Amino acid sequence: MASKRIQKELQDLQRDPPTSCSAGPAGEDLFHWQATIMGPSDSPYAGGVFFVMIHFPPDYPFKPPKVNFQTKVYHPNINSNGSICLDILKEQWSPALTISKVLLSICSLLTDPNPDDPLVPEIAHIYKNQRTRYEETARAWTQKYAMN
Amino acid sequence: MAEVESIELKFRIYDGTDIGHSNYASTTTVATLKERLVAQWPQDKTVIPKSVNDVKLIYAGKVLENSKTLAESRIPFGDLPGGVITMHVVVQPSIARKKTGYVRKSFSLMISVP
Repeated sequence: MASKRIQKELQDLQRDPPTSCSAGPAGEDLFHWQATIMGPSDSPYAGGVFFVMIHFPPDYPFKPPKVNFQTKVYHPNINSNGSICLDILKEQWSPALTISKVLLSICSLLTDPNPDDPLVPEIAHIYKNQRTRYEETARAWTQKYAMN
Repeated sequence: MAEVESIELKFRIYDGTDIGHSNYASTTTVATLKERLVAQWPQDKTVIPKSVNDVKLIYAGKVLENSKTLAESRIPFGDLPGGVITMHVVVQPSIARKKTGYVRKSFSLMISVP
């Protein structure tokens, strides 16, 4: 069941992927994927290519996939382990969602951080009170970690 | 294994436009693909790669290596009977290359002075 669904998502992604994301199996295991997210042009992450790991649970799509950044990102909702604080990856998950939609939501999160539900309170504080400083640091990290 | 197949590909760029839609031999290298894409890049775009080094090809979440052929870049479970595969092209001029550019500029200035 799960593997059929994952294979279908893979076919759809190969045919018509979102402009800003690409994803597919990392190796021989269909339940372990690698993805790239192109930093949105209207954000300080523009020009960066961010790597993301995806693990599908055996009972996918009834349980959400586990999604983690592999590339360092300076963002209020992404911590230094690459964990992402996003409702649809937790209690707001629905089997109607797909990896493509999850990756697009992460793109939106990059453009519009959610500082009221932060994973890294220090960055959320800077985002709220010193926006220019937040943007400069996010841009510097993008250059350093996501552009080589 | 060694037989040459034809793979139908297109390449999606940053604004969602698809370029380079064609059939490619499975023996084509990633470097050759990049050369073709740079040569036929639509000139009305705001981002235009100057050389192959400015371009990254991304397929199934992976950055493809220049020396690999299309056949070698395939992914497991990736067979798409009768379908066109869409890859991503990212233009990312490297900082190192910008620096070399500066060096060259000052170098040519030095020769043109006398």
